[in-house]
Amino acid sequence: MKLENKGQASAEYLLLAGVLIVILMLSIVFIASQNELTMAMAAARNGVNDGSMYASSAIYPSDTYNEYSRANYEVLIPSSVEIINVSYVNMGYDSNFEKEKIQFKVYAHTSKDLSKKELDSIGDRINYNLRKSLAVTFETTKATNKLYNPVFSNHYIFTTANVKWV
Amino acid sequence: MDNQGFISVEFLFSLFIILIVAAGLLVYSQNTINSTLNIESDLNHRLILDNVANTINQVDSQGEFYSKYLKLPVTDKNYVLKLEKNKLTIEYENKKGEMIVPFIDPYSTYKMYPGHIYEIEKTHEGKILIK
Repeated sequence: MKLENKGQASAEYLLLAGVLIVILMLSIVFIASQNELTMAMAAARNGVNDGSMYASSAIYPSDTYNEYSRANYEVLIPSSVEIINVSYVNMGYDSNFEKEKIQFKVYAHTSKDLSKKELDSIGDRINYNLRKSLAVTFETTKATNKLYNPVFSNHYIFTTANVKWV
Repeated sequence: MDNQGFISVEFLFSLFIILIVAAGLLVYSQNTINSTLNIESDLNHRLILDNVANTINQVDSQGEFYSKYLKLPVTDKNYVLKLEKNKLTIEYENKKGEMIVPFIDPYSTYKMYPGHIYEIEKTHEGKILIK
């Protein structure tokens, strides 16, 4: 077959491209929601990192600092928090928000002997930063409350479970 | 190709896809960069705090009249270091952190600011003087 050199694609190619576009359009909903989950996971890990770094630098917002100082918490001394795993479970369809509900769970470890209250406090900060990161990434900060709980994206609604210390 | 300077439809199509992907990643990367900068700043100030606390401890563990000069580094934040009894704190932009300096007995509460040079001295009374 001799091409005419006029910059035109062959009919077979057009046919192929057409079919591909149709397939792409059919699968785009599926791809979009999967992509959203991947983005959510990346954003969550980012947020968890952010949250756990607070324990390493032990520099907190002033009111938090004052609260810790009054309670004589040991978290004012830098401690290392190791993130073991970040995972999520699909909790099924939420009829209130008409979206699928995803719950994140963080597994962490600290070598220091901290009280349960202090661990809760670190855990809450990790979860807060996780949700904040999700809200910023999906640009839904206005749709949620001050604690970013729950966070929304186009297809999902995200919550967090308490951090599991291992 | 008819050499008329038009870009092909395929090229436009792939450009379009790349743009969509990039737009999606833009917010995410912005978020990542922001949080990294934030962490960097926190750790930087923690290091300054540790450094000053170490210097004070060092002076205190030496004999009387021992003194040491210390220049506080300038960062992009306007921080204040405060030495109270047994405690050194750093404060900037509504953030606060502390470092315990045990057995340190300063004459009063001292405040230190970035860019200044301070002389930390152990006096004959065994107290810490900063000027």
